[in-house]
Amino acid sequence: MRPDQQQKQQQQGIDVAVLVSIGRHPTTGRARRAEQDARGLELALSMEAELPGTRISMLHAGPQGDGSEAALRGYLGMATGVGMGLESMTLLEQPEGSDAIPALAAHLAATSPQLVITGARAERGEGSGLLPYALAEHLGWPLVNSLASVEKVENGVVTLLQALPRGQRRRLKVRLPAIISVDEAAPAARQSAFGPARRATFAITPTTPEADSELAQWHLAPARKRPKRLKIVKAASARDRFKAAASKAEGKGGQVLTDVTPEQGAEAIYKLLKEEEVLR
Amino acid sequence: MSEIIRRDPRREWIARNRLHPEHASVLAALGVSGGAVSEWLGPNGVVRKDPRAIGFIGPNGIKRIDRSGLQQGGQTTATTTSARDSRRMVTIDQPAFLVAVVPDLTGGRLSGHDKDLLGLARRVADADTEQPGAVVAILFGEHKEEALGEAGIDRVVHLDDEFYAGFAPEARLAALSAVEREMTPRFWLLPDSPLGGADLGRRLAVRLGERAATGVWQIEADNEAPRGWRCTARGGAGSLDIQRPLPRVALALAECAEPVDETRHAAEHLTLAASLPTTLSRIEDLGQVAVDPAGVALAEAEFILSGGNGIKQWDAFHHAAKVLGATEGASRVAVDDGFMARDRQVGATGTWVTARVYMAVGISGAIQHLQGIQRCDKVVAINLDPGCDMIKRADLAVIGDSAQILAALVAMVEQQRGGQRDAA
Amino acid sequence: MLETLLPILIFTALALAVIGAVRRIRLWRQGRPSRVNLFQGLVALPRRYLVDLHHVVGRDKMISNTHVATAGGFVAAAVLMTLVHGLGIANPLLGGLLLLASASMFVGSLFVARRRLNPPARLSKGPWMRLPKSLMAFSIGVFLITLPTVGLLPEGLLEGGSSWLLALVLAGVVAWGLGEMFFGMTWGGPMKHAFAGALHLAFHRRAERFSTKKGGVGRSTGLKALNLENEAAPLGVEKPADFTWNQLLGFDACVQCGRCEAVCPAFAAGQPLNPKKLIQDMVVGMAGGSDAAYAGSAYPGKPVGEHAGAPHGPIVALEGKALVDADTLWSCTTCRACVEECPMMIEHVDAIVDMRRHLTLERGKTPNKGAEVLDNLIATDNPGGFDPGSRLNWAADLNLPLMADLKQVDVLLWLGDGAFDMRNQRTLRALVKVLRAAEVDFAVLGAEERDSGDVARRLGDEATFQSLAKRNIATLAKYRFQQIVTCDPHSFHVLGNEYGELGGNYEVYHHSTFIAELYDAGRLAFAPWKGGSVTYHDPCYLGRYNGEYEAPRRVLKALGIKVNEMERSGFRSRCCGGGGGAPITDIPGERRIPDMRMNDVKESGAELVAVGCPQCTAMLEGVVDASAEVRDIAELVADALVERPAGNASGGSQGTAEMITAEEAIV
Repeated sequence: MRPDQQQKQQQQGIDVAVLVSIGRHPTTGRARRAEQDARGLELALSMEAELPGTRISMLHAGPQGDGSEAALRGYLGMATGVGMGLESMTLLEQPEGSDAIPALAAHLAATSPQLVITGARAERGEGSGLLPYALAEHLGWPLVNSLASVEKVENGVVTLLQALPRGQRRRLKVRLPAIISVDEAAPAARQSAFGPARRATFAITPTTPEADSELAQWHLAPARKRPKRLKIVKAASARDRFKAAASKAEGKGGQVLTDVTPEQGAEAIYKLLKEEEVLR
Repeated sequence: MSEIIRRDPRREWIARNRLHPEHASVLAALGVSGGAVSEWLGPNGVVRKDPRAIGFIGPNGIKRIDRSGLQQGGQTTATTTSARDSRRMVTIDQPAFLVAVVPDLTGGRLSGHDKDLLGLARRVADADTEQPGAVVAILFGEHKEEALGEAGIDRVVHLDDEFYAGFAPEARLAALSAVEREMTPRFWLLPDSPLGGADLGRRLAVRLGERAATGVWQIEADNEAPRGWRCTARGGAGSLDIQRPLPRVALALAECAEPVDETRHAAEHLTLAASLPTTLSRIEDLGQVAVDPAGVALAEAEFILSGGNGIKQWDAFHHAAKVLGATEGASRVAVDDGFMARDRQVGATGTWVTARVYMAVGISGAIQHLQGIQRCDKVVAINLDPGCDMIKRADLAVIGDSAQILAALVAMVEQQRGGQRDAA
Repeated sequence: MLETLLPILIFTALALAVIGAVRRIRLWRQGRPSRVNLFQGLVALPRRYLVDLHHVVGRDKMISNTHVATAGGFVAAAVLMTLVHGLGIANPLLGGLLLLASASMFVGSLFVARRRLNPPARLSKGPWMRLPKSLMAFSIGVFLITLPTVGLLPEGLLEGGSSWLLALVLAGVVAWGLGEMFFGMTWGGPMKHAFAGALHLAFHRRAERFSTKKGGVGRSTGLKALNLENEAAPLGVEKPADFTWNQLLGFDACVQCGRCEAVCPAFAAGQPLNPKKLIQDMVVGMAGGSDAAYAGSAYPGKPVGEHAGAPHGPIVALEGKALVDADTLWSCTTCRACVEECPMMIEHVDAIVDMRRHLTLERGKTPNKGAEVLDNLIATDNPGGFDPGSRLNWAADLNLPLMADLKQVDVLLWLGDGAFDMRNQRTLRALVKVLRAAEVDFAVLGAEERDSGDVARRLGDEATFQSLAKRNIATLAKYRFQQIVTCDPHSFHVLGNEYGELGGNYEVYHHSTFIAELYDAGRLAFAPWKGGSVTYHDPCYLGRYNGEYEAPRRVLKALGIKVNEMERSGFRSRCCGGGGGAPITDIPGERRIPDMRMNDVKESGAELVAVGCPQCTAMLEGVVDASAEVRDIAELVADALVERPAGNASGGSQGTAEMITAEEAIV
């Protein structure tokens, strides 16, 4: 690499802050690194690989404790390999049940990173997914959700790919500073390694906590199974209802074509593909 | 009121009794909206029959005539009434309040999710029959939906300027803020759907300074709540149910309520008084990126062509996937044998897929494989063995040589595409 | 002239050998410290060599005898020659012995030469091809120069004017022999194996694997725990110098005989692993340099000469190539076939797991599904990510007694993660049926049980292993039982051999052993076998890891089955491919290991293969178009169960009586 090119690339490197929360395993409920936040960190790490000079800082607002520390170290364990400055995480200390938004907004305003990456929603507590939006509103920065990848950063403008359903992508240009949120469409997080996780440290910053009084008034319970919506049969008579039920059962079995020419078989398949609109 | 159907047993009896002198006239009276009389006494005393007027369409689309006699009277009445639009027209001229709904309008039409949400909006609006509210829908972009009124919309604000197209959250948010200023709806309801209402709704909530309820799937009237409603919302990544008073902005899940189907509404168009200032956007949409279907992750793919042990010509298989624009998948055996990469393996030990169409070629359907395709909508199977498990699972199965069938399918698709190109 | 030349030659060679030895020892001392009782090791050396090592070498009588003749002859000749020719003690008796020794060595070297005429692929070529000639040069040279000493040749023969040429030639031959044997021994020639091998035996890191005079079993197969308390201790092996010094010494002992290569299932499947090459790569790394000089079979699909390393350079590169590629390390199924076959007692599996530990714990680079499995183990205590509370769902109708209710039983039935697998649930049901038929007082942990940690440990995640192990030990400590019975050899091995280091010592039985004992005690009776021919597949973790080859065969015999042995059975059994997390890391090869094993079954002509391991069952049943059915021993036993004849029932009723008293005691 020529020196001038190298210099140019280094100029491209930006400050990225990754917001991480404590996740919850869906079957056992154990604390872990949150799925989406870990994907956010993965995105930042891949940016660092692409754009030398990118500086990543990790930020978490919450209480200090053994359970949460183990989960947070899950993120720190992703800093594997050489030259990644992720030996530490900033922990904005506040008691359980505090509102994280003011603390994070204040910290971000003070440190002013160019890009903030966060998971779309938390796995514990309210998990409304409002936090990135609230931060964007607080800071007055643009926000892009459901990010798939960062393509490049140039002159304070970042080019991104946003994930659309079914593997489709949309290209966006966003002026920095900005907040981007990631969900399941972002690349899966790398493995968290024990060694770097164990070595990492926490930079604990005290905050002036604001209790989340509204949340405290709500009633939280383990999720119930939602009732399955039944097919509504609008029928005036029992006979019609019976017919509707019977015809449903009839339609369940698939159609099997035996002893057809390849062309006939292909035609039947073609028809189905057309009906399902998967042929482009 | 008139929606209560009152039965007249005597008239029904006459309708059933073909020999009753008033039979024809009663039939005519029952079949109000043009229900054709199927049998009548001709001018010279001969009984005339109209076979087209009787019978019903069976479940498989074939017309059936029921000779048991049930067809004659009450039954015919029932079919004619159901064919008639029984939906009540409701117009709310002086709404006590407004419920704003911003449907996703995916592909220009109201999605199922949108309709459920409108059902929810109707519940909120119609709770007090004395002072009903009106549902106002804010539609962005061009739409092809004709049945706005049927879905329960009283008022429509249609914004189809080009700067709302694509990913334009800032412009859309500005428009919603204008609606808020002019109309001040009591509630804002949006679908909590990724890349639709989920994004816009949260932006709106923080703009309005409201703590939105997200993932709402149930609402109940609650006199103690500030706005008269309590909602149940999913929280903590689906692990919690949060009960809280319904806030001004709510993002609801699909099936949060039954869609409207008993009433029709005015869907009266409104325009915003103030012209919207064009905001300088910091987000620029460069458009959709062409995605190679082969590169799409299996879990996300909507059309998968999957090959197994029965494939002998892999080149032809790859060609077929390319022509059909399908994402390639494989069974464990095909991967083990080295014909496909490991990340293409479908099944419990590979990837769980959610394709709209899953086409299994030469895959007999081991239990692990069938587990992995549980969530696919339509399964097409091509196999030599009519007894294999995949055929039992498939919605459409073709028994035969997979290479020939695939070749025929490829030829058909290419021919069709060629034809279109010629026409164009 | 020779009289003056020989001492110079001998002592020069010896001096060079000493210098070489110092250099070599310094190479080994690059490694990390390891506490070894040096003196005891040296004292035990002769026994370790003559008994344990020759037990392995003796599997090939031809080579064993060749080695006795050559090595024995050489050692004797070297010592005597130093005395006779070096120090000039021209005693005819010593001379005669020296003649005898060199003659024996010569005969041996003839056999070595014969073996090298058309060597099998597993033998390394290169310098090893010249070894028989060097051996011959040494033995002939010594023989000839000793002839005059004992007076078999006229003294003057080598003295005359024309004979100085002959003397020079003789001296040359002797110098060649000395060079190879003394100089080469410590400077890295083929004879290095004698020097390093002897010290390796003396300072072996698993002193307990050698037999003792008192009749010790001589088995040590459990992996050694990593010290996680000490944050300064490296997590696994990143560079050659991270091995302990005696591991490095062990690598140097390799004779490149390729017995490991011949038995390695991954090598046979065309996966990029060859245990011999791996050990040689470690030798290259220890000294620094490239593998270009290696003259044996390469890793399948990886040409020789592209990899290089240094003692303090990484073994696996972050990007590109270093000493070894990661997929080589992940190809290993930890079946221990190589360790079992190694005549130099080298511990290949330990080294591989050490290097895997670094990859997993420091780099987070467990390939393919590895990361997912480890995450599942951390979050759900089982590799499949299933709800831990559903561990006993399969047995909802069996009313299995729970340890939590009984607190004290004879037998704790350890279910293993097979409890989540529908195929293995059939085996477990069968085992429960057998235990009930024999009226065994047993209970299960139910939802309290966790994965034993086997997979995590073999994938290098020592932290997760220790976490699981410690929690399991704490759970087991709550209850009283006499023994643990399990149908999973992996749990069997880990519970029995690897929990001890963490404070959990149990008497663990594999279900085949336990059933054999029940049968011997008359508590089970079987209907005669009516099926076709049966073969038995030895699970690695039962056989090679724990030496249990007999019990399963005894059970099959009790069932009336005559086992139709496969060519590779017992300690030579071929792995099913399911161990060491290999199905999870899934390194591609040219063939699949289970396919090869099913082919072995086919060649034996058996219609049914009996197994005793859920992994083996899963792997062998996954073979497409298999010619034989796969059944667990427990299933075969359960199917053959009949009412015990009345005469034998006394043992059973006693059992019931005991059970009642036990229950009463609890109440």
